[in-house]
Amino acid sequence: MYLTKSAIEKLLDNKQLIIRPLLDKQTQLGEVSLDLRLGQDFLVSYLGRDVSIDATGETRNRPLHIFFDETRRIVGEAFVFHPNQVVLCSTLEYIRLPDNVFMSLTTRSSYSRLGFSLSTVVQPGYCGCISIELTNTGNVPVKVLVGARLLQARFFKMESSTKYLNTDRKYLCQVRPQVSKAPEDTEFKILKSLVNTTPNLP
Amino acid sequence: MKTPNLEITPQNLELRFSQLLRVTDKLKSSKYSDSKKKEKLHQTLMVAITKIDDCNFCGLSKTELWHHHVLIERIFLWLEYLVDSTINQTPYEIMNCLELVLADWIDDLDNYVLLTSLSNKRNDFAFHYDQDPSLLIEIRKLLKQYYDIDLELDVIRIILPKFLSHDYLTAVHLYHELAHFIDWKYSVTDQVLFKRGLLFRKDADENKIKYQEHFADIFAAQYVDRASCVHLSYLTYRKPNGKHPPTRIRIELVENFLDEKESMIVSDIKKATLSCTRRPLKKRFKTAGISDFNNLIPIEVRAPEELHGLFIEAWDIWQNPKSALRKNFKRSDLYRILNNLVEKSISNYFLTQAWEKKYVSDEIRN
Repeated sequence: MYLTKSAIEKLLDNKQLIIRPLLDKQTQLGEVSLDLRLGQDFLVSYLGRDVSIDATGETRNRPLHIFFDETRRIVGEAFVFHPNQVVLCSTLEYIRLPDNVFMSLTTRSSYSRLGFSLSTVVQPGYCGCISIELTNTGNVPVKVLVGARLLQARFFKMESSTKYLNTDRKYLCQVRPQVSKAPEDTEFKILKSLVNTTPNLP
Repeated sequence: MKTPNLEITPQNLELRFSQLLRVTDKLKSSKYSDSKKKEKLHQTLMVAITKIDDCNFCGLSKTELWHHHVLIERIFLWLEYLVDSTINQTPYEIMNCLELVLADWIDDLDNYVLLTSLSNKRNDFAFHYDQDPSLLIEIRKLLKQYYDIDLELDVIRIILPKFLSHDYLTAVHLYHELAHFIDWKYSVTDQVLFKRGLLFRKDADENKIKYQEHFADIFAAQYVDRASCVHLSYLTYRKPNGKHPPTRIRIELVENFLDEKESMIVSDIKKATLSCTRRPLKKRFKTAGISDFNNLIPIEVRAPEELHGLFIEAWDIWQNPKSALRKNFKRSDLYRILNNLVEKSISNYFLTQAWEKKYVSDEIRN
């Protein structure tokens, strides 16, 4: 079920949905969505001495964070998104979702029109600031204010609850963007062993 | 090669200044958007460096060479701290908390700027300031005399470990270090020693160190309760500092202060503090009964007392083997989670305060 303004408000009032800080509820809460703000920390990808990012889980390879430069801003400062540069950032808001509500996150249309696009789903029970991967797909650099309402969240209620903490979570309670932890995926070992054991498929 | 001259020569001053210029190049585009005072100090130093660059050291007298040596060394020192005080380096969340503490104890806080230096040593927590106030007066005089530059700010230098700069559990140690600055500013320990007749004895220096530590322990406990003792007992375990009083006694005095038990030393320190600072030593923290940290969410802080209380809440969870979080998370995850929650609670508080202040003032204007 798609949650409307009154349902979102009720979740906030009952503290089932936590959003901290919610600086301007009146402006941020729309009829069917809630705007989220751009956070203060950024990981900016850059070209280093390594020829490629290795996300195959090879332990001898250098960790992924070396491909990113960490930088901070304060709310109200500008951050420049250069064309085609991957920038990991996070929401200003720390969020805890109810166990039966998941969230769909997109860029607000005002920012999509500048060349940003994002579409991601946040699982029920998630807690933390949400890491987002933003790329300016346009041809010119775009300056964005830290703290600006860049994202739009929509909430969906499910028929039953899930337990977010029942499985090991890689990105729990984060307050700043995190680099990919793809190499920690547990099935990598199995996948690699298949190379020598399975016949080549046509 | 001739034997080095023990006086300041134009050549060794030129060498030092060239080194200073190398650091300056790196600093030119630094941003200190968390503090206008840092920006102001930076600008003042840059103007001073530009003007000194035009000076011909070979044409200076011995006295003038010495004056320039003092100026260059001081500018160099401040630049070393400014390097680590940029928005990307400094953990401004904890710095903001310390500024609030200073605001409780210093009337002319606008004249002070806090700079940080990140050390590679894991236990390096320290406050540095000019023990001799006449030195800063002299530097101001020289800047005005030679280059017509007004320097209004005084600098408090804070050192903390680089790898622990976002470690809010260990950061409680900074409350203790800040206390030494307050002690120096108001001479609280001297007052205690004087009242107890210890100031002019042979062992006055030894006693002074003891009372300085007791004062700093009690001062920190005002804000972070027993949290600073927990860390203290770890740091001094099996390796007591010969000059400092025994850890057991230090912790006992903190307990006496917090529990308001009779203790001559605590009583003397409280009286001297009130007399010297006109401010009482008292509990200046508040904690919520059931912490939101247990639900993995930042605490909504509404007052500075609750802000200091965040450190206590984090330590309470960390120290409690029966806490649900302890049971549910690996220690490294819990360490990360607690630090994240404290940091976010602090930054949310300052942001919300600033937002509400601006929002209200805009509404009034409209």
